[in-house]
Amino acid sequence: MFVMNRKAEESKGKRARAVWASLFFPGTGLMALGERRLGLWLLIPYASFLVFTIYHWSSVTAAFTTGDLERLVAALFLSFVLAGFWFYSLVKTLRWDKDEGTGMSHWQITKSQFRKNKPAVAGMLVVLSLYAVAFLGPFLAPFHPNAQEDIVRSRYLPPLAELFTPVVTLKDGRRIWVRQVREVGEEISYVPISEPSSGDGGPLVPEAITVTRDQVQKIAKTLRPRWWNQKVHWLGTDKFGRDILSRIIYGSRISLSIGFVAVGIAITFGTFVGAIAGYYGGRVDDVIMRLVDMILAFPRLFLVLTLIALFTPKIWLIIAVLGATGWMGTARLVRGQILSLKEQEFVQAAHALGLSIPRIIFRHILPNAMAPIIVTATLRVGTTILVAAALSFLGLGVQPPTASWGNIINQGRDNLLGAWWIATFPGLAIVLTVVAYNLFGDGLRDALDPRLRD
Amino acid sequence: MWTYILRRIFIAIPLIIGLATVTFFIIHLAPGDPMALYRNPEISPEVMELMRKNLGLDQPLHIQYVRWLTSMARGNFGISFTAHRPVADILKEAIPNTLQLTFLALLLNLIAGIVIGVIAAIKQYSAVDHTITVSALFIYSMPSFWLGLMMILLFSLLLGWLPASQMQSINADLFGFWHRLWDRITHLIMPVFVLGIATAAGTARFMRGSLLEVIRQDYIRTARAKGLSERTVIFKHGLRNALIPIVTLTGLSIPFLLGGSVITETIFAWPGMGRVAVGAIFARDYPVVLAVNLIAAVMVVLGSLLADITYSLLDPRIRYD
Repeated sequence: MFVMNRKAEESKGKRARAVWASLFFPGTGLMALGERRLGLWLLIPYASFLVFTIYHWSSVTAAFTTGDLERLVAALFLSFVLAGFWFYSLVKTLRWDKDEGTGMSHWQITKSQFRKNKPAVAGMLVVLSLYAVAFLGPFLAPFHPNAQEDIVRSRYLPPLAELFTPVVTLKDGRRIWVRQVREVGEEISYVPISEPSSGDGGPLVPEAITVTRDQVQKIAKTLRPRWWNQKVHWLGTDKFGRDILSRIIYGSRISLSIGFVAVGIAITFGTFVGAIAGYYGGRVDDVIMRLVDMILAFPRLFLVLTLIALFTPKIWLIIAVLGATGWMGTARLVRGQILSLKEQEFVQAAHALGLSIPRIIFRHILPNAMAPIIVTATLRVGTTILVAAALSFLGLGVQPPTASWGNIINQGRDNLLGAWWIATFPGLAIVLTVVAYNLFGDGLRDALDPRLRD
Repeated sequence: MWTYILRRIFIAIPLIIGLATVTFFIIHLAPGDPMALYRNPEISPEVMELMRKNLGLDQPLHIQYVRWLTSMARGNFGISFTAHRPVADILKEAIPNTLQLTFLALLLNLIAGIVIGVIAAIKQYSAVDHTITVSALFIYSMPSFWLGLMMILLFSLLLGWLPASQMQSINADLFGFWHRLWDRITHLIMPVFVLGIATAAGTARFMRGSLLEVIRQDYIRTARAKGLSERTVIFKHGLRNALIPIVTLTGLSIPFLLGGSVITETIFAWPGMGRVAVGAIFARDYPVVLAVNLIAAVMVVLGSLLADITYSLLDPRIRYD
């Protein structure tokens, strides 16, 4: 008796310390309690978000006062994420020994199955970080997506070009960092880089200095001094001197939101229609399924193109059209699920209890059909992002100057050989996103429903 | 069998008419005027009115619809608003080009998909299998227009091996037969690859799963127990059965190929239906848009019908009566 009391007391003290630790730094308390993995999963993202916030502290605090909506959303997202991690870790620490020993629920089995699938976990992490990047765009992007600077200098800059600058070393030992060097016969002319002056600019086009060849010792490209303090176009610039990386970051919001919302609409509508067709059967089923066949008999891209091109392309229209043309698969799937579920005993029991039909469909049948619906939704996001990108490539997405991955690639077509970086990097971003979504979806399928594995 | 085919065709007819009706009304109810193209201060309103009358756009919508439907039933697709030629002529030039492209892409899809899928299944869980699975994942996660641009960049602009666009060289008419054939082949390689490879990745994945499932069956165990060679077991007993579901998949891939041809033809400036469709949609050339949509729908319906018939021929257990 005495021993047990002491043990209980010990664990109580341990927990109290853990709660204090969690209060100050999320995850650490759980690690102290032996939940190392969960603790690390909370601690690492929390720490990285915290470092990010501290690094951008002045712009984050400014975001709340300046009234710039984009920055405000980014700052709010940051606060919510930090608060969320803090709160979740605290709750987990407080309830540490509460939910022990009750066996594994269906969701816990799914979770542990999913965790074993490393590529799927990686896919999920990439998807989550992409959304974080989309939200934090205003803080992350080194430039404004439409900023053009001195277009003469900044157009068609290759990736990393600014890290390396030509240096002219003169015979008298002076080394001069220059923008451009031009060698004409015996003359060498260069435009020196002036230190960025305080706002008033100086001449827009600095004057070139011309020297003769025998005054120059050598010309070489060198890593710029203090390059880490410089704003660099990491992925180069486009025809208008706009930073590709910043445009990709801002463009991610278009692709990710279209993918997510359009699939959300399609899945909801498809589930609804499929549930009605499957539950009522008979004439209703016939009519709905004929309609589904009719829309499926259409090359989707033709339909979407026709609809969007004839009305003016707006982002909500694209979302609506992609949603309205993507629900048929889900409807078929849900109908099949419901046909098999509605004959089972628990549904008959629900009938016998006199429950209303909507209640039976939504509270008793659909939750049992949820697994394949979630899986198709996740896998569908990838293809929807591809279709949206194709539309925007054809000029039917968001209109310039707003950046989207598809329209950056389209602009890259103008000078494919001279400026390969414009079309290449947004495409890689699309591939990364869709691969991540597909890995995530495949993992979910394997975890949720082993029967669906191939 | 024949009654089944006839019944399918009879079901398909109202389906296609329904589709055409829906497209007709969507197109005509959309904001924007096809006559906007000709609006010009030099053209007097009376002439505009006359042109509108000639194109039949002055009639109320339901009259236009009935007229369009009856002429469509007689095989008359009308006259293009922008090209001022019969739509049928435009399509007669474009459809063979698209069929050439999609047929070859379908062939690539089947051959590459089946071969790669079988290799992956035979060497299940080996390094080869993993490589195939991962690259298939990347290939069908890739936007086809981007893949096309990257291939143009690499093979046409940097290496100069393949032509970047069009169906033939400008002076192709002067070439002899073999030279012309070779010219066409070089022009076909990239578009066919871009169009076919994404569906091939899907087919390979499906083929792998299908063959692995067949291999688990009892009759395969019996074949092995009889002492047949592994080659005979896989190719004569396994593959034949595993191929059956691929037929359905092929039928289902036709809408994807037709949709994909829009993108591929735009990138490679291939003078086919997809490019006609994009041009017509942007120019609000209603008769062309309607005709292209209708033909695409007919092709899809025919494709799936063909797939179903082949399926029933291949699998004697399935009888449609």
